Amino acid sequence: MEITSFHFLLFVLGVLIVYHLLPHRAQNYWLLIASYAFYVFWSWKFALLLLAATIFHFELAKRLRRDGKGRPILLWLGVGANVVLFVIFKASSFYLSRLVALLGQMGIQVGLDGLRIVIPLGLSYYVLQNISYLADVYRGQIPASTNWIDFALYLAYFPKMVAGPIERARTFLPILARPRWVDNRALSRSVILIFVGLTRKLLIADLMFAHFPWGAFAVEPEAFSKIELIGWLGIYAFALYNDFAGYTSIVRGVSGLFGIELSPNFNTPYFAKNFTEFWNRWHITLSHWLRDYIFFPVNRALARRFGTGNRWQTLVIPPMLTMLVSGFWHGPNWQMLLWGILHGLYLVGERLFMLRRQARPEGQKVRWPSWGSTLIVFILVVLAWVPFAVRIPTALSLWNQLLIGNVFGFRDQGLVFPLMVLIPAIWLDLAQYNKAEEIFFLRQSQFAQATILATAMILILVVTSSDAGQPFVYQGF
Amino acid sequence: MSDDVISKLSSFIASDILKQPGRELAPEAPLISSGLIDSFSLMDIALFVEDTFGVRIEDTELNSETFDTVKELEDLIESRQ
Repeated sequence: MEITSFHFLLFVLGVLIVYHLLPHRAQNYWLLIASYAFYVFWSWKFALLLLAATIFHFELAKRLRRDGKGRPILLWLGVGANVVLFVIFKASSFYLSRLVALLGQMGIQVGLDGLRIVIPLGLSYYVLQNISYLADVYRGQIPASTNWIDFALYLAYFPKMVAGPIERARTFLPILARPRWVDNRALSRSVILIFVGLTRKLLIADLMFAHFPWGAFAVEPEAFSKIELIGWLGIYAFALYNDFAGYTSIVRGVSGLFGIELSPNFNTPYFAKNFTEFWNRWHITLSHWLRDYIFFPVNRALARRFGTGNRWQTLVIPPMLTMLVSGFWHGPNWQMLLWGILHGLYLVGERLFMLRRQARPEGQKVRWPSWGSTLIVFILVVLAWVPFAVRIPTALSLWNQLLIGNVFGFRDQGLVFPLMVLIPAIWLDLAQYNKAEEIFFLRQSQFAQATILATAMILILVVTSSDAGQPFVYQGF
Repeated sequence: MSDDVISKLSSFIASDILKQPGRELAPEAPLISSGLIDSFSLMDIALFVEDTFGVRIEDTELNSETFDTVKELEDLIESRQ
C-alpha cells in the first residue's frame, strides 16, 4: 500500500473517522490496531517480528536501571540485538553469496534463491528508534515506559513506519500520553503538507526519475558529454531530494490529521553553506540520531582519552566513523560505504579549513559570498551522490568523464523536459529558504492559496491518471 | 555566581573555541543556531563545563534546543548544581 495510492487514502480516511469519534485513550488503541493492520498488509510475518521486538525492548528497558544506575550489560545486549537484526536482514545481499560459496566448499549445495532474505518494512528505521530509546532510558534521561500500548504505537505508528521520520521516545511518548485536538489551523496545515508532498513526489521526483536514462547512465557514462552529465546529476540530486522530502511531507501531513506532529526531515538542504549545515538540513532525524548516538559519544570518549583541542583523533575519527555508519545504514555495500567515506572526508576537510582561520570578528564583512559556499557544497554533494546511484566502477568512470569529457557535446536525449521540471523545484526550495518557512504560501491570501492548491491538485490528477508512479527511494533503506 | 559562570564560559568560548581571546560575547547572542559554534566545538564546551562546574551535559543535549546562548548555558549549569 503505497502512501501515494488511492488505497492508502481510503485507509487513512477510515482510520481518521473512527479515531475522531473515540475518547483519547481509545484513540491510541485504535491507532495501534490500524498500524498493525497497515503492517500486516505488507507482511504478517514481519508484523510478528515487530511485535516480538516491541515486547523485547519494552521488557528490557524496565530492567535497564537499578538503584539509580544504568546496567551496561543490558544496554549492550539490547544494542547488540538490534545490530544483529539489522545485519541479518540488511546485509543479506552482502553475505549470502559468500555463505553459499562456503557451503559449496563444504559439499553443501544451496541455490541462492532459497536463501533470499526480504528486508522487513521499516526495519532500518525502527532499529534506530529502539537503540535511542534504550540509550535514553539507560542514561536516565527518560523513564522506561510502563504503558505498553503507547510504547508499541511509538514503534509501529503507521505514518512513519515506511521511511521515518526517526522519532525519539522522549518527545513522541508524551505526545501519545496527552489528549490531542486538531483545530482548523492544524487541519489546513496538515492538508497543505500532504499536497506539498504529493507535488514534490509526483510532479517533480517521479517526472524526473521517469526520464532518467538509468540504463545508459549505469552502463555507459562515457557516452555522455560533460554538460549532459552535469545536467543529469543535477536532476538526480533534485529528484532524490524531492522523492524523500515529498514522502516526509505527506506522512507529516497525514499524522497531523491525528493531532500527532512528526519531526521535519528536510530544510532546503541544497542551500547549505557548509557540510555541518547540510547535515542539519538533509534527513535531519537520521543526522541528529547519528550525531547524538555515534558522533558525540565517540568524540567524548576520544577527547577524554587524548585531550580536547585539535587532536587528530577527535578531528578525524568521529566524523569518519559517523559517516561510515551512515553509509552502512543506507546499505551494507561498497557503494554506500564509499558515499559515507566521501562525506566523512568532506567534514574532516571542512573542519581543518575552519581551524586555519579564526571565527569572523563581529562587524567584519564576509569576504566570500555565501552563494559561493553554497555552490561548492552543492557540487561536492552531487558528486557524492554518484556512488549512491551507480556501482563503483561506473562511478569512477562517470567522475573521470566529468574531468575529461567533451564539454560542448549536447544531444537532447530527454534532458530538456527534466531540466524544465527543475525550475519549479528550485523555485519551491528558494521560496522556502528565503521565507524560512516550510509552508511559506500560508502567508499568501486565501485566493492565492486556493489557486496554488487547485493547480497542484489538477496537475497531480493529470500525472497520476497516466502513470502508477515510482516507489519511494528511501523506502528501500 | 551567575556573572562568574557567564564570565568563565564567555572567556573559554572566545579564547579556546573562537581563538579570539579579546572578543566579548553577549550573553544573549546565539552561538549554535548562528553557526558560530559547530558540533566539534560543542563537545569541547561540554567537557569544559563538566571539568569546571561539575555539571554533565548529555550528548543528546548538545544542540540549540537545549541551549543556544551563554545565558542559556549558564541557566542550565545552575539548574544542575
